[in-house]
Amino acid sequence: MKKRFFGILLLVAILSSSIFSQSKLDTVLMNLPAESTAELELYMSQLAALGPSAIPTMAQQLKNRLPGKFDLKEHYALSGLAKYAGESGDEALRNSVEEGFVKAIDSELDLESEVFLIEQLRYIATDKSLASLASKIKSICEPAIQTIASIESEKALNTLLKALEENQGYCRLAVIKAIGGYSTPEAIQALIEVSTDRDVQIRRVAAEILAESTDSQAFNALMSLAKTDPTLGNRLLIKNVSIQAGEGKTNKIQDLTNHINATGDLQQKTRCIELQMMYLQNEEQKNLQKLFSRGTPEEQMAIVSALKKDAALPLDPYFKYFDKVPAKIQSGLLSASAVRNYKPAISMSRALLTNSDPLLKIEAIRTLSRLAGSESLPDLQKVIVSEKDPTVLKIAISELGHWVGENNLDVLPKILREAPVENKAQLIDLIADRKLSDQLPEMESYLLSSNAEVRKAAFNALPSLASGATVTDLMPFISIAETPEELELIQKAFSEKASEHADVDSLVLPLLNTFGESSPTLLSKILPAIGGNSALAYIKKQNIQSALLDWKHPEAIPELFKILAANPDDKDVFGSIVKLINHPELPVDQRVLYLRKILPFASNLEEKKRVIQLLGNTRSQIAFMVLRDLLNNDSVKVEAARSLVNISLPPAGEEFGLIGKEIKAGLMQADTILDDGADAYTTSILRRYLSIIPEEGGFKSLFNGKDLAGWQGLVENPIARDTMFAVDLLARQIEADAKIPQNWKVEDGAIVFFGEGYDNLCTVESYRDFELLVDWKITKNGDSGIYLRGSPQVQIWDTSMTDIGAEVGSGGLYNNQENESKPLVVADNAVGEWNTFRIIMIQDKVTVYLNGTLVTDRVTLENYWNRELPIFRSGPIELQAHGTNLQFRDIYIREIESAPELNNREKSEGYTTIFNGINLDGWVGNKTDYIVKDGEIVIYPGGSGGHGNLYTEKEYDNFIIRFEFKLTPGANNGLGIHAPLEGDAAYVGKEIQILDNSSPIYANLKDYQYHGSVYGLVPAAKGALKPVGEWNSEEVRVKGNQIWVTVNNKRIVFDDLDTATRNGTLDGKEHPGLKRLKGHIGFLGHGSEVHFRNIRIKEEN
Amino acid sequence: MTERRTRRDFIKKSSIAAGLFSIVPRHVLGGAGFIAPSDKLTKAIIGVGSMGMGHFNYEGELVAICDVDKNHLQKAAERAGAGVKTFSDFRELLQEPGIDVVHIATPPHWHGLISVAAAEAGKDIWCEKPMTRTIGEGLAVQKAVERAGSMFRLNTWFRFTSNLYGMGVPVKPIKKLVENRVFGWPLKITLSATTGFNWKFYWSGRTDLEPYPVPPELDYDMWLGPAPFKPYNPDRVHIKFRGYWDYDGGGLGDMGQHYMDPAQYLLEKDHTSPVSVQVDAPQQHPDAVGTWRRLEYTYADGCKIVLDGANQDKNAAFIEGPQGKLYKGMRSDVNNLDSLIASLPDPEPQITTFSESVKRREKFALNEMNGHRSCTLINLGVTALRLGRNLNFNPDTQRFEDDEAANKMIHQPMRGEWSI
Repeated sequence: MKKRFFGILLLVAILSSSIFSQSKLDTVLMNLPAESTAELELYMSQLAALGPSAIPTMAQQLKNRLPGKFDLKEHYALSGLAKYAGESGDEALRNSVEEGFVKAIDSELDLESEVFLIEQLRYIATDKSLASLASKIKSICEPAIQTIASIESEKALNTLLKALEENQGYCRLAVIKAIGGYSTPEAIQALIEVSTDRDVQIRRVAAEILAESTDSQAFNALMSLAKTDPTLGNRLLIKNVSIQAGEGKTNKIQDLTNHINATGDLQQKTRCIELQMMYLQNEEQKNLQKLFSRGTPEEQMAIVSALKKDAALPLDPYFKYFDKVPAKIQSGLLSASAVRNYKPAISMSRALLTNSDPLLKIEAIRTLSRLAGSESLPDLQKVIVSEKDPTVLKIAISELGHWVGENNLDVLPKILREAPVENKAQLIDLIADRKLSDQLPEMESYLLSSNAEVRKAAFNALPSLASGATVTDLMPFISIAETPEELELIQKAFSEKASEHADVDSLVLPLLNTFGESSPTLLSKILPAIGGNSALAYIKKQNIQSALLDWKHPEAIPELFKILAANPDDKDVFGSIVKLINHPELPVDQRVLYLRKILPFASNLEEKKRVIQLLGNTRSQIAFMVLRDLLNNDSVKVEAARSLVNISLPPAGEEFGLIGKEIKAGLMQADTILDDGADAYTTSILRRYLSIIPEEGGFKSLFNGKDLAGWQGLVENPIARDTMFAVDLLARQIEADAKIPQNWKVEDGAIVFFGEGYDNLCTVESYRDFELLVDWKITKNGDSGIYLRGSPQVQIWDTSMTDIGAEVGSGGLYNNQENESKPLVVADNAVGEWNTFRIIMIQDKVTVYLNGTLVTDRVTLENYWNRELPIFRSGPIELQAHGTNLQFRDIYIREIESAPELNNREKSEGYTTIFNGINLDGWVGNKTDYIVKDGEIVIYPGGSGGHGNLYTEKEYDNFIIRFEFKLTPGANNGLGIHAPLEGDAAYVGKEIQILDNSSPIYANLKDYQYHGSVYGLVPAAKGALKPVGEWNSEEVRVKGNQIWVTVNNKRIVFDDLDTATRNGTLDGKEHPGLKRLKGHIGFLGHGSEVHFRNIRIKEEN
Repeated sequence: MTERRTRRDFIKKSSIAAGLFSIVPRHVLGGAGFIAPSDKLTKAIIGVGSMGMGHFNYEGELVAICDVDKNHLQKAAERAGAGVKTFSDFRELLQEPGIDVVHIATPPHWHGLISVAAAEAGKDIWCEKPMTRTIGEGLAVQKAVERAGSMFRLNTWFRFTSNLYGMGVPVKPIKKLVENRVFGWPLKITLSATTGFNWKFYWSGRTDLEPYPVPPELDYDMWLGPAPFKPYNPDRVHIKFRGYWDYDGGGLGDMGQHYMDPAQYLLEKDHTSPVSVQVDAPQQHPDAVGTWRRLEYTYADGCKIVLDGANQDKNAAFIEGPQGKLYKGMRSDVNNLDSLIASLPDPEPQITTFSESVKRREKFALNEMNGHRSCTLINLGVTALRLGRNLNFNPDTQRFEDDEAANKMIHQPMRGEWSI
């Protein structure tokens, strides 16, 4: 339907003017490459509507590109247009585009551009392109020939035949291949002629093509070729006869066989036998059966191969000779019978289960299992309890697995008991795979088995079988373990158990109660695998250092660091820590802290590289800066550069990774370090990212590590400061700044508070919404905090100060009274260790991660200075002084743009936002039901029942509006356009429906009432909406009386209201709004909750 | 123009190569079907760049290698050691007797041609993914392999071994659940970062490749082979070729068959193809591969495979059916999944060692038939991306419905002497 519509548009365009509008062309080009398939279709329809003469105009622009480059908008336009016109259905459209391309090709162009155009033309070329293409054969042979070939018409063939006469060498090859696409007598004749060409390459290409022809002349030509060149000829003859046979022409098989028997090699001979088998009838088949009974193994194998392939061949006549053929052929017959589902082979297979040839036995087991299905179970069972050959056993057990399921799992323990010891190992594997946990007690004897395989299998089975047991059941197994591998499997069984418990201590405490006194050695072997604080405390008390080194969970890291501090050269301790730092449960920020802490202990290059590598797995700004410093260290700079790149690149599915000026500078330095050879892949993606990485945004450093630039002293509080005269404030500020050195200093890259008062250190700048990173360290009884927007505070304190409630941990909003003031969990590192805060503040809500753990989740920060007021919209960050020694380092801030942002593309295209995300400035109408919340316009069914309308202050005529919306079940709203401020916008203006039409309450909708419909006038395509509760994106474009509606990148309306209403409106009502081509845009409430955000608009002429 | 002069050079070189080719005598000893089960198979590797070097480690005794880059060939020869023959033209290598299995680790635009030639030379084939660059080449490989009776394996393995991306287990337990209809039917499989299948977008190509002189070690004409002539630029070749439609299909070509082949196996679609593919992507450049947001394949019975390249659906399940879902890491809303899996019988056994397939002359688990179908998923996606529109496909005729331009992409013309 849409194509017909474009066709009409196009005709109108062509008839009304032969000259297209350059400005319209420029507008379309500006939009390319299209962002989505819907846009692509739109732009290509616009291009097509400009008529054929736009195409040569664009083609002329191609001259402006540099050689080899295909980066112009016109490349997208021309390639898109040909592909667009190549969709079936609209002859007028295709004709017009073809006409344009032909004109373009006929115009003066450089060679490369001509090739480009001719390649695009391939999607739409017809006889009308022939003359132009033919004229290009001399200059750009191959692409022209290929496009001619794509036409597939008689005229095209004639052109090709002519070209064959006129061209030599390389070009001739292309012509021959193109002619090869035809099966007419003329084409075949031409190919036969060139198959004797003097040029061997031409001869070969022609012969290859002839080999695919079923024309009898082709066969003859190949036969004569084979006489002069048997290598090429025989191969092609076989190919030719195979193809012919496949199409039912079998009369050449005998000729071929005679020829090959005389001149061919063994492989070719067997191919002929296969062909005879598959295609010859009656008498010849009997000959083949005879051949099978007395032929060579190669001949027999060829017959078997055909029997496997061709389901129509009878098997009985061949199985007749089963006992007479060699074992290898028997085995082939069996495998053929399995493929062909030939049931008589069941009894033969059964008989062979005791055969002495293992390969035959394997085939028999497989065949039996496949043909007899679950009925083969008793046979398999017999094999398993008696078989000596491990390979055969393996096959039998694997087949057994196919027939053992929920109904007969109990057969496995039975077979296990009966099987000889050397066969048990593989069965234990299967039992473990099936998690037959009631078999765990049985394992004890196998764990003690003198057969190494069985013992190993039993240990391997423990983790899978553990779930049915209790830890007490498992305890006796610990002492059986002799090797580290065995112990590890025991540990794994225990940690399987532990994973069933939400609280590990509930598993550990009973263990400690029962075995704590008597068996510390046994416990020390398994507790590291189970982990948890109780286990750790026990091991610490017992002082079993080996267990600490073996610990599998990160809670042991601080303890291990203590050991390392005492023995800095102990490689084992170092190794244990590094291993634990890599534990997936450890949050990234904490991991970075540990890696920074362990880096100085790395004494050799290998260790350093390992730590750097691990830093590269943490997507963290701080890790980036640590690595950046290491770029200057010659011995590790390559490793650091790789890690740096790893951290910065965009995660899958995202456009950007780390961004900003500092990141870009670091990455550019990394680029100079990485080698194009060894790191070719890394540098290629790095350079790609460098070409798009924005310098704006990202984290900015608030502390340079050297001095207090960017910081100032504290003057009063924000409210007091607000009331001061500027001169007074300045004086007070100078005074406060002068006092800084009494309390604050910079030492070893950290800001240190050493004073006694309460003089906070404040950023000079103010910040609104942001993400703040700051590392802090306190001393015994330390107490501090981070002030946000000049207000207290995200709490920092020594958790041992239980007298003032510090045991709740740091990171809470301490001064809150109405809202939560305590952190969710304690995530502090020990006093004297560094901690990382990640504080996110948006609007009045604060989120805090302490060492990577969420401790405050979107809690409102109350205004401490005046509790009547909400928190200030902006203000400085302050480091709180509280009379104890404190340190801060690595302070970074990323400002978060609050108002909805336009992307660069939209900015350049002239879009503006018409909703600022904060209030309803620029909007008129019902501002009580429509409110702003979290950056969204939300309509709640409030006072007027959510029926009010909210309009733009401004009026618009032609425009594109884009917005996102989220529906609630059954929600109904509408987008009014060209609307006056009074009256029912659906009639006095136009309404684009916004509706959860999936709701059962709308079961009887008319087509023109679905979401996206121009209400009462134009129905929308259905199915573009996402499920209720998810955000949808919508674009509405209005140009005069034409309307496009695109939802979630799917176009659902494109129509001309004049055309649509020519025979009256769909709802039969008067729509005076049809005549209004200018007005307000608005949201039309119909009594339900709907969310809108990110509303932007572009006005058009 | 430089372009034409270069082409004439090509002709000269090719003619010399062809001349050699026709006078090399052919010795074929044994051939397919005659290897005693205890014999060790021999192999040759065509393409010994970064991917081909990996094939050194696969089964079989290496006897020959081939590359069009002398540096690659030399490096590989050093690693292979004495006694391994080196070639710069794969056609000469294929004439060698005593090679059982030919490994094809070239860029994808060569996979189809070399597979057909290897089959016709009576070799068995171990081919890198993606199987072929077009649907037409895939069909040609199928036919040639069938005609010659060769054994063919595609070099991806997730349908029979290794943990599936994101799931932490091999496909077998999942297959058990699916074939016993634990999640119901039809199923939707989503491949995205959320489900553990990250799509790499760094394979996007560049549109501004200025011509460079061809380095002396590289036979660029042979590297291009059937691909249209474009001036040399180091970005086109070696590890970066994936960013250009002439040779591959970006991240979709690189990872598509790894990800989608097991999905096709799970959905029991080894003998068919989807009836439609829907695409959400920016317009693609005619030469350089770009990014895409989403591809959605629908089969006739309603089963779907969704490639969520932009990871838009953060709650996606790997498998979603009317009776249950399976998420990344084998999480599920089906109770007691582990014990359920343990109680179900194993799926149909497959031949998962290529030497076994070669010796028994029975199809490998992933062969030219199902491999072509899973590669067709990639090529359907590539076609839809390049055309910038949704497509309907007839899985029986393997042609597109009502879209002439799409059908023109099923077979694409080949350059020079090359044809399939």
